[in-house]
Amino acid sequence: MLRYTFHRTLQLIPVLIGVVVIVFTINYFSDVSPANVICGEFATPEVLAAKEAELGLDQPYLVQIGRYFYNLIFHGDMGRSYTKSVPVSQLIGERIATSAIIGLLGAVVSILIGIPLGLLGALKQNSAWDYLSTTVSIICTAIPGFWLALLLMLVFSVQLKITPVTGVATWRGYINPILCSAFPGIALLARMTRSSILENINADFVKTARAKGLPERKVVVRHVVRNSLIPVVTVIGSMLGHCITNGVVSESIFNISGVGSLMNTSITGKDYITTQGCVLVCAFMIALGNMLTDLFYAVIDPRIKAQYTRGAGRPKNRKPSVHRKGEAA
Amino acid sequence: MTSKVKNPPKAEKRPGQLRLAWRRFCRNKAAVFSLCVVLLIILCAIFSDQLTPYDFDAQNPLERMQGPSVAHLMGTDDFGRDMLTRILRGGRVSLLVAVMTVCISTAVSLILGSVAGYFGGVVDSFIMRVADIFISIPGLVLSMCLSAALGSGLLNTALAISVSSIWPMTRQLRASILTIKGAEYLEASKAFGARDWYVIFHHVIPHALAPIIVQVAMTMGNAISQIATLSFLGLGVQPPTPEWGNMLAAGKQYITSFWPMMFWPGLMIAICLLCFNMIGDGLRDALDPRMKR
Repeated sequence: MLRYTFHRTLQLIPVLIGVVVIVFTINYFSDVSPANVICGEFATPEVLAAKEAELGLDQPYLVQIGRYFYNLIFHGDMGRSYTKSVPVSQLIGERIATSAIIGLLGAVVSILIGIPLGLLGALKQNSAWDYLSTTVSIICTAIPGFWLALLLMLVFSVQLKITPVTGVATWRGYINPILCSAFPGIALLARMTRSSILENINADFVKTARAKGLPERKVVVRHVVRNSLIPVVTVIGSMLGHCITNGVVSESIFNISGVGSLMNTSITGKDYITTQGCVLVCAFMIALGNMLTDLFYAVIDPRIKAQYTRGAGRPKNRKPSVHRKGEAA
Repeated sequence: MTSKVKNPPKAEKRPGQLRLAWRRFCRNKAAVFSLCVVLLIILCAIFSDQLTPYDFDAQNPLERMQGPSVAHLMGTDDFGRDMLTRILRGGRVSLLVAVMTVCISTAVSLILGSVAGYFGGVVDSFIMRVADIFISIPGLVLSMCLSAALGSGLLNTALAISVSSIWPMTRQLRASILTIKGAEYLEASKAFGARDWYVIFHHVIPHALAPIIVQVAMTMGNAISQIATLSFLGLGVQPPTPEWGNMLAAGKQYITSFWPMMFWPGLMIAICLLCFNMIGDGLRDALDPRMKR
């Protein structure tokens, strides 16, 4: 198990390097230089060239990316923001707590609402509860995040005046962003829980459990729920991974200074080096979320644990055995 | 696919796969209704100039920010332009870009996924590692970076969004191709002297088409929401062109004084997303007989 964790952690490194290379390349080939944005529209070519030299942007591609990696790996330095002239790590450090609080509480809210909704829908299939559960999840997936943020603002801040329109000066300010990040998760979890339980509820081992006289409650908790956890855990893991990314739009709308809004302003303001730092942090969180999910599988399912301990390496990467008719084993 | 549908030939002419799937699709009322709504929206977008008496760009300062009335069914915006006309016209941009996105990403992922699944080995691991990397970058952030780098415009926006939607599709395609890898009919085809490309296009891709069609419907919805998000943030499609996202951004500043301006465009995006999701669900049930209960 420990060996598997170690290997899994090592696999993060090439992914993160790849992420930096991709974002760097996109930014490098962008047609607007950050110097243009910093110096303004009317700057002379000499001023622009001097600024580019100062930022090291006149160097060839390989030199620039090599230097970025050198500083990142040997000094843990993500560079200095072009526009704010503060280290990027400091910018992110100041903001990450706010984003993480909103994202994590949002995940908690969606777990607390989404899983019970899905359970209700599956256990009382085709009842009013089931329709409620499916309708809620369908509507929650259909509402785009930025419209949801504006609607929450309209209802809670403008009409009911419960929450401030923007900012997180008081705890009430957190309500809207947390709800906003919880909504998509509610839909996903409710749907996943429902379908995954429905898949198991008529399985042979559940029939056996009922046949041997186990009370229904125990059947559900011990046999149905435990076997339906894998897809639900996958969703939760990816929700935790995305908890910072989800804020890109909502943080900008609610005017919260978090990593999401930092990413947004840095992309629109051509502050490439800050963008790279933010994307690196987000990708790290996502990869970490996926890794934790894979590790948690072992806790739920002894079969997967046996797979992990037998050999190192990701089980997903193993060549799947070929089934001619396309039926999964 | 063929072996799974147990439908013995009744008469001389056996209904084709597509017809069977279509019949199953028609049984799902929500999906059919959504399909009708989508078709209606597409028609309205195409004929937006003929449907309303107003010009989408005609400003009328005397009639600014009016509520819904008989003359203006959805009211007017901050420049006195008819909202309904602008919404219909905005659908043109959203749907066009969404279709372009889906075409680009489906074409690329068909090639990548089938090459990875069919050839396996180094090619497979290379493509899949690249996919791993792209999937670790959040889709919205990737398209924001690309959109900022490429600049605004319809094609650039479509390109920016498709780069992030290629990879999940590629993965799915590869997974479904791996299930038929080594099947006898592929070997038979090769034994007759077919080239790899012939086998891929005539045997491998048709097998994987069902999940791809479902994915296309889902990607459409996702693309519409991403276009709107990009335009909302000031990347994507720029203001003189009406688009649901930038109309919402314009309505945002009047949230305290005149909220309908931000309500209607968002509602349209939500309806589109809802419909494409329902169509996707319907297609999945129709095309995948295993899921049928």
